[in-house]
Amino acid sequence: MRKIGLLVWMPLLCMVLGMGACSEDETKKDDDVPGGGQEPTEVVHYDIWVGLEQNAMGRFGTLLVKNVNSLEEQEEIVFKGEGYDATATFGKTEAAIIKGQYYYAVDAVNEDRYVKYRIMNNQLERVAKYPLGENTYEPGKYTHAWLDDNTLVILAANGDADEVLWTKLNANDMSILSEGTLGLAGDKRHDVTKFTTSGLAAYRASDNKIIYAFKHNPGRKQTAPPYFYVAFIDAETMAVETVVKEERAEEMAGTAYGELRQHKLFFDENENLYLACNTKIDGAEDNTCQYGSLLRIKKGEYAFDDYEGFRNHGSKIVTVDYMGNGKVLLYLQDPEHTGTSDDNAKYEGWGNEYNCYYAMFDLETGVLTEFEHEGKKLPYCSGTFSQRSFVHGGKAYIGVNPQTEAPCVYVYDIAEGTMVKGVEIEPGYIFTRINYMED
Amino acid sequence: MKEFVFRTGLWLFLWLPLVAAGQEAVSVTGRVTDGAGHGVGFATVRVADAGVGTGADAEGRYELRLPAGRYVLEASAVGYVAARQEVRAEGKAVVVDFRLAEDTVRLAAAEVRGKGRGRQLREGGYAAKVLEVKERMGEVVDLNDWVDRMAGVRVRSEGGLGAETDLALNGMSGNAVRYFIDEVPMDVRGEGMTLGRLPAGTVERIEVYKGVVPSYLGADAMGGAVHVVTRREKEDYVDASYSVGSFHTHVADVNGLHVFPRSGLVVKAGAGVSYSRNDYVMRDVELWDEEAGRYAAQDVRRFHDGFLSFSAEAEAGVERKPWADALYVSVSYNQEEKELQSGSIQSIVYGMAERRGKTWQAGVRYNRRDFLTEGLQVNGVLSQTWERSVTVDTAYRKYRWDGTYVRTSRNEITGGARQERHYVRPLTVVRVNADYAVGAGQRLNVNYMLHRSGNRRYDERDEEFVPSNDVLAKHVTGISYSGAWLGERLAGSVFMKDYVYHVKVRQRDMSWITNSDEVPERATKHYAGYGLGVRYAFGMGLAVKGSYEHAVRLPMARELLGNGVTVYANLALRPETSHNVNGGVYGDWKMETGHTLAYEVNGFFRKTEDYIRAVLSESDGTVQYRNEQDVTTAGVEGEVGYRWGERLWVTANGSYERARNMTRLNEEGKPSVTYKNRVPNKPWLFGNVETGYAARNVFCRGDRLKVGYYYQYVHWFFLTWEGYGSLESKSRIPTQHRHTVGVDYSWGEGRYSVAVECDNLFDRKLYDNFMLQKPGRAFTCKFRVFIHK
Repeated sequence: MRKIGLLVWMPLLCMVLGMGACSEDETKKDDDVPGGGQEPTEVVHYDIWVGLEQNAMGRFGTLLVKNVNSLEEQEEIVFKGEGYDATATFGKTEAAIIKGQYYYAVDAVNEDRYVKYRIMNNQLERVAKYPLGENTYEPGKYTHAWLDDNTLVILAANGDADEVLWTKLNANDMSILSEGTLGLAGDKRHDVTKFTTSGLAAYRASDNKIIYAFKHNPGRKQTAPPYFYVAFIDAETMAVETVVKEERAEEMAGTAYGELRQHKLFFDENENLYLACNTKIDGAEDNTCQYGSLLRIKKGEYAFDDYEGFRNHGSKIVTVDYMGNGKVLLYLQDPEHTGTSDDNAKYEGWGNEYNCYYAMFDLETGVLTEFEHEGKKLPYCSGTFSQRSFVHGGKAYIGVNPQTEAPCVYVYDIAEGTMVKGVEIEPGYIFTRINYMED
Repeated sequence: MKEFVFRTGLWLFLWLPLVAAGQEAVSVTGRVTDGAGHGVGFATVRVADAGVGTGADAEGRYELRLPAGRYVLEASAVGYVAARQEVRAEGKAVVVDFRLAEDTVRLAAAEVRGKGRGRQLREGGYAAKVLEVKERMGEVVDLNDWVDRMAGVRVRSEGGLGAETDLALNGMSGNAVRYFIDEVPMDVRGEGMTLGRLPAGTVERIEVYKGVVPSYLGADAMGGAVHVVTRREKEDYVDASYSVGSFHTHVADVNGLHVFPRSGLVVKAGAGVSYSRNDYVMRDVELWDEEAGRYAAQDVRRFHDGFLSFSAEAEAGVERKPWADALYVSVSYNQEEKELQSGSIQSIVYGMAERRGKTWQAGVRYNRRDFLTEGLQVNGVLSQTWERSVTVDTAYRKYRWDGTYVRTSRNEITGGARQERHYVRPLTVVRVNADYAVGAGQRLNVNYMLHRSGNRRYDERDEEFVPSNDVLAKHVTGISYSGAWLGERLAGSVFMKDYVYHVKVRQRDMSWITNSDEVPERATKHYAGYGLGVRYAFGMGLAVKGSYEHAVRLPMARELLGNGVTVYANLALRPETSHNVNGGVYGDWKMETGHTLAYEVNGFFRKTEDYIRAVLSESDGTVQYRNEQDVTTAGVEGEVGYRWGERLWVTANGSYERARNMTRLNEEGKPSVTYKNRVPNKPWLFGNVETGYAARNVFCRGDRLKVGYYYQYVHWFFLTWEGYGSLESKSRIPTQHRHTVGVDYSWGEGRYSVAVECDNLFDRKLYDNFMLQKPGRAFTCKFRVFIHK
């Protein structure tokens, strides 16, 4: 019997010792490894972001990103088994400040630090991290402005929304240069007691001013006032110098997420600032039923002028990109125009329907021209939190997320006025964002 | 010691003449049956007063080899009166059959299928296993751990004591697996009640059904069921235990039973308290190093994961009265306080949020044999539960693992306003079961169960929260016919189930997450299910079994309405339906020397529509249950065990399963990205090895010393769908090795015991299914006193 015991126990003993001794390292996510251990090989690339949920606000969505070298090739972009799964890093959305090679953000998952990423060779590299200071920000809910290539300022309402916080960051290492509040609480030049979450900021270099749009946010149960404010802030001292009230539009197009997700304002060649705004349709069933307008602050001025472009076209402005020479690339939401509703004042037809389209707007003439390819309008899209367009090198890149066709990118030659179809994304994904990344 | 010497001497006395004479042993064979002629599986047949014997197989057949001579053989089995027969062992073979009478004194009336449930499960067409808890009560591990060690079973635990757990059986997981206590859904004790929180001292055995679930359990379980059977003896006893362990863990419970001889009144009562700080070390969490000016990986202790629970229950009733074979009334109370330390992923750290809950339950159960007519047995259960819980989330802070925090503008869990969210969830369960013996070994069973839960919500702090009151009601009716033929070599059952599902939803908040704007306020739906199970025994050593079920699983309150903490409601969640096929072979060989070798291999296939799956939000660590349109799961599990009496045992099992999403098109009609992907957050290859050695009369007569070793292997698996991006960029839950050793010593014929265990011996990193770190090396010591007549 002792033999039987030995026969049973010896292999077990060996097994136990073997298992105890084995030192298999836990498989680590290697997103801390710079570029997967490789130096970037491409001089220029584009980051294409896709999701798997129609609702870009969804907590349970998935975010994938892929580097591509060209958007003009007639090829299919594949995500199955390729690209980078950024969900665990970026959280709910791809919301971030983008400049040069990098993404800058308040960490969407840990929430206690500033982070700087880059995505190269389909690997994510965390370039810098730095803890939040006295001022804290909710990931994805702040606005920003670049004071120079290395200085970034972010702004947002505080926790009780009775004041606006600001923090200047060294964009190299994300360390805090300085921070404070705008001192807008109790300022008699406005009547806001509860500030919009992020507001919208722009930096005007010629006079070193930050132009910050904000309004009263009364909460879910009450109606917001039909006007908003703009503060002119000395970028050096962060002192608010001027506050003006604007009543021609209900609100600036970005109140909660700044420009982290979408482009909402632009400067023209003369440093005139154009701000996308939206206003609730009279008698509309829901606050989301709006029409847009473009308001302007001319260079050196401290108030909007009387320019009120686009207002008569009825569509709601989702994103704006300046194409040069007084032309603007607009991404617009309009259920009536796209056929998802017969009345824009009705809530039905808004939301996640395929109710958005791309058009070019002439700031001077007020003419709105819907983009076409081979004689047909570009497909209508869903995605009111998407930013699938940008302008670079004399071309406008326009990504569409249609209902029946595969998502793809169209390339518009601004000088020639011609449109060609570029890369296509394999069906099944929600095309949410496209970024031009420098190297 | 004297007894040992005597028995050994007797054995030698029996065998030595045989050896000396060169005689061949006489083969004594036969079958042990019950009063109805059914085999009594695993009965013991031995030479009376000699300690020499063997065990019967699942069909009650046995074989014993003895030297020629005259003996008194005794056959015994749990739940039966032992029977003796004198036998003259002559020639080459002798046949001796035993017929055992039911031990009506020891059997509980409520044990409707009382005779040999273990035998019935193994012989029936269902894929089922029985874990005899009573035999292992002195050990340290809790019920969750025991179940986790069974083949095909995987328990997901988020952490230490009081952590949420989830169980997967043969490819189905989460709430597809339902829990019952004495045939009543376990949630009558409160939603927070889990196997791990039940005092082991109150449990006699745990039956685990994999896949097809008997209709008499009456619920809409799909992936299987765990049925906890509480202790049935009707003798006075007191069972008390206390365990103390790492991470400031203390667990104490006491329960007992007293029978008033004159009135026959049976009173059972028990109480338990559990506390743990759960301050185990979190490894390699990233924290800011002020001196170095950079983030660095550090080991820190959990700081806000305390758990305290108190429970008490009492049951009183009578048995064997002219008007009732059993009538019991019961009340129970459970109170819990739980600090919340993290979301479902460990990058989400909480430091102030907590949850408190109180649950009252009252019930009555009735059992009557030969009700109205001979052979008809009726069971009835009525239970009402009042559960109140509150989640307090009022700190606008974002914590780090070192306990420091930054101020924020939102609460910790949902990112909303300050909340003190109250949930009132009354639960009514009604169960009526009628079981009729239509012939020898054949039964017709009809079962009805009502499971109605409310969900009233209000908030003391969040002024914008709109109170609501929802209702979720299920009516499940089942009818089954079971029987045995061909001398019990063939056994089987067929069944049908009818499901009525009614929801009334009033909550309308957070519609973009809960889909409350997509569902009508009231809806009633009807579903049907059916199935069968068969088993054929070829003889000793080989039997095959198979079963099929078209099953329906209705969403649970937690899945549909959320849990008030980290699980969001999904009001558009649809019931899941599936076709389940199970097949298996099993057998065992017993040698007269006491060595037993047993094996079991099972395979399963499930095709599930609207598969309900917990989906993790990687951004905030919350969870929501969602449907996957088409999931197929195929797998195989096997177990082999060797046993040398009660001295030495080795068991090894392994499970492999492949659950794949077979949905070709997503809800918009576009190609599904995850088509043919393996379902994430699920282990798909895992196994266990358990061995132990026990010795009796080591230090004194009647004592028992047992040493045990347990090893668990879980192969790595993906955190999210494998089709999402390149595999190199994906988070994986790493391969895990868990080693546990334990020693327990009992004396005074089991009256006293002390056990020491070291879990996670090599202090390896262990994770739950969402990559949440679990405790490292932990020591526990348990003392138990069991006093009985």
